Parts: sequence; structure tokens; C-alpha cells
Amino acid sequence: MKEHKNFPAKKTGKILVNLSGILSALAIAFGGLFLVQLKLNQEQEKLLTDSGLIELPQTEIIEVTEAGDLSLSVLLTEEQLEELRNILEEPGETVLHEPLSGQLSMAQAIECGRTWLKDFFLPRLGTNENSLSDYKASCYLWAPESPDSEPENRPWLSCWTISLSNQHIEAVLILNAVTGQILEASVSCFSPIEYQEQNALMTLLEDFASSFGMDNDSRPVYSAETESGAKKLPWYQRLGTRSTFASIQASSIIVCSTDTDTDLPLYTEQFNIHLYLSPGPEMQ
Amino acid sequence: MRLFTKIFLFGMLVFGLAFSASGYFLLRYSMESSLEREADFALKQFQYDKFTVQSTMLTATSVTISLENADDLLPEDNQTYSIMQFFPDISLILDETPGGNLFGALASELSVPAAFYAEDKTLLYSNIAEFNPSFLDSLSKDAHTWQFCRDRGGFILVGTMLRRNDLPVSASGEAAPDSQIDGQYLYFVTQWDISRTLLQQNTLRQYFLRCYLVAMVAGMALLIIFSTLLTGPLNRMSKAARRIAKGDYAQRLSLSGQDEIGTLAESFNQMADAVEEKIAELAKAARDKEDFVANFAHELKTPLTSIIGYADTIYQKELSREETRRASSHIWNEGMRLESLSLKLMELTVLNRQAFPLTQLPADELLQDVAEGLSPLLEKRQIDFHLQADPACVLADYDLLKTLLLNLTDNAIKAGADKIELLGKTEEKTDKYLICVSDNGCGMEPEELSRITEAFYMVDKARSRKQHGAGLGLSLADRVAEIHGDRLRFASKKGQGTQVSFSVRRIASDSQPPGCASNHDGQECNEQKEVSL
Repeated sequence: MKEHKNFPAKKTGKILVNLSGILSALAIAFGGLFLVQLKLNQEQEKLLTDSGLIELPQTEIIEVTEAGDLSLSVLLTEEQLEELRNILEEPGETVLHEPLSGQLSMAQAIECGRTWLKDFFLPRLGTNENSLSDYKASCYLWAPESPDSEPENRPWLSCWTISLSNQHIEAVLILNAVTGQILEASVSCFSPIEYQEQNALMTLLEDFASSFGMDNDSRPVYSAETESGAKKLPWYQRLGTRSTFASIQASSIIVCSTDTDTDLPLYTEQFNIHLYLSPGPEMQ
Repeated sequence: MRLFTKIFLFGMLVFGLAFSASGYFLLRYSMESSLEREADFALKQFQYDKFTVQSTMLTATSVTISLENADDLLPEDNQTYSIMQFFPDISLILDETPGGNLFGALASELSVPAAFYAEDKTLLYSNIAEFNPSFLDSLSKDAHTWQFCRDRGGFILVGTMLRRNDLPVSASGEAAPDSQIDGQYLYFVTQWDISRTLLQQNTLRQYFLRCYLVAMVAGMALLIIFSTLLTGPLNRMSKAARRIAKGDYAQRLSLSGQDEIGTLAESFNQMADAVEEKIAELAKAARDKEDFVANFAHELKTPLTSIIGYADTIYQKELSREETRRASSHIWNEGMRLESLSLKLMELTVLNRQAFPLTQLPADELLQDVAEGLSPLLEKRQIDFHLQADPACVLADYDLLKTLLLNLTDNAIKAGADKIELLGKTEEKTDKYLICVSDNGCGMEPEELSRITEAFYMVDKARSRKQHGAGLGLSLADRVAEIHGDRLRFASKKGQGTQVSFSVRRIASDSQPPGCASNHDGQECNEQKEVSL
């Protein structure tokens, strides 16, 4: 075999080439990692200097001093009411938003809720309206989150949820943001009320149904019956021609405590009344 | 660059790029979507907090504070008032109730840190640590503004300007009186903590770093193993090739497998087999050539010595007529031998160089011709000759095959046989026609049989030379048999005789052409011939 005279030099060259190849491989491997970390740091820095803004809808501010100022001449249609009933039954994801044009402002919504409690709800249960003094309110405006529909497109789907509370009463009201109609009310009373009289609850339900303006006067009230023939809560009254019912449910809890002066037991009864929209007795 | 290095380099390149690129895009997507989600959460929470602040300020806060300062301000209990109606000078309240002011109470209602500033950017309340008021410059009444901040682990500031006149609802129905604080707006800012998300992202990156390192180390190990497995057989092949190049032709590779390397190793071994075989052939050819030249020289030398000797005798001495005739006879005999030798060498050369087209012949007719040609000699020597030939059509060269048979018969005569049998037999199971020449001559030792077809080989040299033999007859005969697709096969026993056989290709009777079906005398070919001389 022929032996090259410059064999050692060639061998050294080969070793150097191979070594540089291996070092390149390692450089690629670990350089890639370094590059990824560097690039990610830069990306994070860039992202963390980011800012933005969400523009609010330009709405006309209506100064309202009393609930009577609110024009409730516009009422929800049967279809709208049915859709809202479905949403309230299964709210799903919701989005909070600022009042849009044509929707009640927060002050209006609170006033609406307070007026409804004071003028509509409490008188029908024979409770002193003074129990609404010195209350605390919190509220928010929401709409069902839908990828294909913004609240601007269907403003009547938005609702105000208002919580009003003081030492006598605790109420959570859901009212339509456009019409101000109370769609659902869950009220807990800590002072005696006259709900035990069935007529009071019946009147409350009928009046609640009538508030939707669908001529409910002659419509029957549905309910299950107990073994003794008494009407068992909840009660339902149909609204319009569709399968939307105004419903009422009531319950009470008796809380026992000890009088600090006499050491005698004190019994306090908490009454809970729930007015709501439902698909009716057959759908329950 | 070695193949090992190339595979390693390329593998690491692919590994590195794949891991880096996928890791980068994955982590970037994760970071972007996390921060986007956090911004979304922050905005949603801000909207909720804003509602809480607005509603609280509209109702309970006013009453609570009015009760705290009820000496001259307590209104009717059943009405809602704006804080601005009773506390126009917010800054006064702040002074009077440091740390426990209205906005502190409002902030305590919220689940996130918040700050309140008057329109002139006077601080009303803040529980946001290290809040930079420059953020207020970006706020407007028509938008919710958000901004990422890296400080203290990372957070998002969200803010807006709240209109003070959003608040007034009074018992008397009068609008809220103007407050004494500057402007109609308040700055409201909340802080949404994203440190956990950033920490999570960092943890994710650390985790990716560890995974990457582990994957790279594992990848390196795998690549080294893979490269070694791949280049190992190639190295062994290279070494084997070098050893073969150095003359170790028996070198083989013990590699198995159905892959390309296995196939290559198999091909390499086949090549080595062929090389070894060829080298052996060449060596044998060289050896044969040397032997041939030596034998040829020897065969030339013997008659030439005799010729020179007798010629010298005639030249040097006065010989009688009888002595001269005897010497001349010797010279003539040796000359004849030389002529025979040269003729046979020429024939052998011709046989080796020329291609002979084989034609279809009736085998029985050919054998009959041979028998007829030999009959005078056989009768003269009083040799019992027996021919038995199956009729068949064979592929052969007439002259060569006749020469072959005459050579074999001549050898039998030279071996002192008094009985020779020539047999032509059709092998039914094959397409061969077997021709066999047997005699009861002196025979040969079994160890001599392997060499008798070599040129110039003579079993009994003295006897052979006496009969003008050159030791080339069987070489020629074997070459003729080879031309016909077979070799001579010998069976012999010392003192009992020899049998030589070979076969030629037979044409099947159904494909036999008409010319071959009958012999020259018009007799049917399938009639068995039996001739005794």
C-alpha cells in the first residue's frame, strides 16, 4: 500500500476537522437553548411593557330622581321574555359591561329595585316600608357571553343584578336593563311578615305576573296539591301564550338564640320568598 | 470529516433546532396567552370593582358616613343620598379620618388593591404599593386603561375616571350640589397581581430548560450509540478491505441483517469470494503454465537429444549401411514424435481459442463411423471391439467428437487392452446422451486419475514415448468434452481396465428435426445399433 509522506499532518487535520464538527454540534445544541432563553426574555420584556384601553360606550346620562321618572312603557315581548327566562335558568358565561344607550344607569337601576321593594313587594306582605331604610346596595350589569352577539346588538338581553340589604331585609333582584322589569327577586326578611296568608302570596304572584303586561287577570294558578288538598308551593301563572310562567316559592327558617337579659330562648323566623320566571309546572 | 462526526453533527442540528423551535413557540404562546388572559381577568375584575365602588358610593357609604357625622347632617332614614351632598370637601374627611377614610372603606370592599385620586391628582386613598401616579396621565373618562408593570413580581394596573355626578340620587329630587374638590371626576385605579402567572411562566421555562438538557444529553448518547452502530460495520468492512488488499484473501465479514449494511456485507463477502477464487485460478494458471513450459521443454529435449546424438554419430563415425539406417530410423522416429507433439499443441491452441458451433447429429451414426474407422487397426491388433448405441439426436461437432472418441480408443489400445467397448446411452430423465469407452487394459492407480488430463502428463512415460505419445491426447479430449458441455470422468482399477465417460446434450425426440430422425442410410434413428468387430 502506498503510504503518504505527509500522513501525520493529514491525520492531525482530520482530528481537527472532526473535533470542530463535534464542537459545532454541541454549540448548536446549547446555543439553541441560550438563544431560546434570550428570545423569550426579550418577548417577555416586550409583553410586559404593553398597555391598552377598552373604550366605553358613549351613553346619554339621564338624571333620575325617582322611579316614577322611569318610563316603563316599553315592555319585553313574549319571545324576549322566554329567551331571558332560558338565560336566567342557565346563565352560563356572562360579561360585565357599562350601560349602553337605551339601558338604565346604575342609579336608575338601584332606584327601580328599591321602589319595587318599597311600593310593590313589602306592602303586599304587610310589612312596614321603613324596613328599607338605611340599606346598602351593590349591583352590576351583565349580559350573556356569546361569541356571535355583542351586548350592543341585543341590549334587552342585559340585566342589572342588584343586592339591597340592611338589618331587616336582604334582597337580590335581577331586572332588565332596558325596561327595568323585575325578572327575578330573592328576598329574605328577618322581621315578621304576613306571608302565611295564602292570599298574600297569591296576590304577590298574580301582581308579579301582571307586571309583565300580558293580561294575566283571568289565568289560573298552577301548583301541586298536598294530601289534604292544599296548594303546594311553588305556584305558577302563565305569561302570554308561550311556556313562560311567573313563579313563586317561599320558605322559612326558625333561628333560636338566648336572651342575654332573661336567659330565655328567643325565636326568630327568617322568611325567604323567591319570585322568578320558569318553564312551568310540567317542565319542573 | 468522519461519518460518525457527520451523523453526530447532523443529529444534534436536527435535535437542537427541533427542540429549540418547538420550545420557543410553545413557551411564547403560553406566555402570550397567559398574559392576555390575565389582562382579560384584570379588566373584568376592574369592571366589577368599578360597579362595587359606584354602587357603594351611591348608597350605603353615604349613610354610614353621615351617621358617623350625624350631629347636624342626619337626614331622613328612608332615603338615599350622595356622599357629595354631605361631604363636599373630601379632603377634609381625609384629614379627619386618616387611614380610615371613606375611600379606605371603599377599597376594603374590593378584592384587589385600589387607589383613588381627585381630578387634580391629589391622592385620596391608595393601598397600591409603590404606585406611580404617571399612570393617571393615560386615564380617560371614556375608557378603561390597562398597563403591565414589572415591579414587585409583576402586576397590571387598570384605571379610569369616574364621574362624580354618576352618584347623585337624593331624597328631595335635587341634583347633587357641587363639591368643593376640584373637577367633576375621580381617578380610580386597581392593581391586578400577575406575579403568580409570571412565576409560573418562569417555572415553565426552567422546566423546559431541564427537559431540554436531559433531552440533549439523551440525544447525544443515542446519537453516539446510533453512529457507532452505523459506522461500526463500515469500519470493519474498511479494515477487512485493507487486509484483503494486503493479500489476506480469506478475510470475510461476519455481519448479518436484512438492511443495506447486511446486503453490503454480503456483497463484500461475495466479492472477496470472487477475488479469492480468481486469485486461486490465476495462481493455478501460472503454475500450470510453468508446468507446461517445463514439460514442453522436457518433451522437446528428449527427442532432440536423441536426434542430436544420432546425427552426431553419423557425422563423426564411419558407419555401415545397416548402422546408418538404424540411426536414421531413430532420428525419423524422434522427428515423428516432434511432429506429433507440434500438431497436438497446435490443435490444443486452436481448441482453446476457437468457438465451435454445435450442430444436431445422430449419435448412433457418429459412433458407427468411429467404429468403422477403427476396424482395420482393431482387426490388426486382434482386439475385440463392441459398440452399443441408442439412437438419439445430439448437439455436437462431428470432427471434434470423432477425434475425442479416436483418442480414447487409441489410449485404450495403448493401454494394452484386448477388449474395448463403446457405449452410447440415452439418459431418460435428463436431456443428456452418455458416451462411455471402456477397456480391459492395464488401468491406473486412483491417485493418478486426477492428473491424467494435464498436458504432458504420462502414466507410463517409457511406454508412452515408445508409442510416440506426447501426453497431450487426454488434454485435448477433455477440452473437446468441455466444448460439448461436460468433462471426462474416469473410473479405473490397476490391472483391470479403465472406463471413460462423458455426456453430450440430447435433443428431445418431439423437437427433433427431420434430418436428425434417421441416419444417413435412411434407417430409423430409434433402432438400437449393436456392432461387434
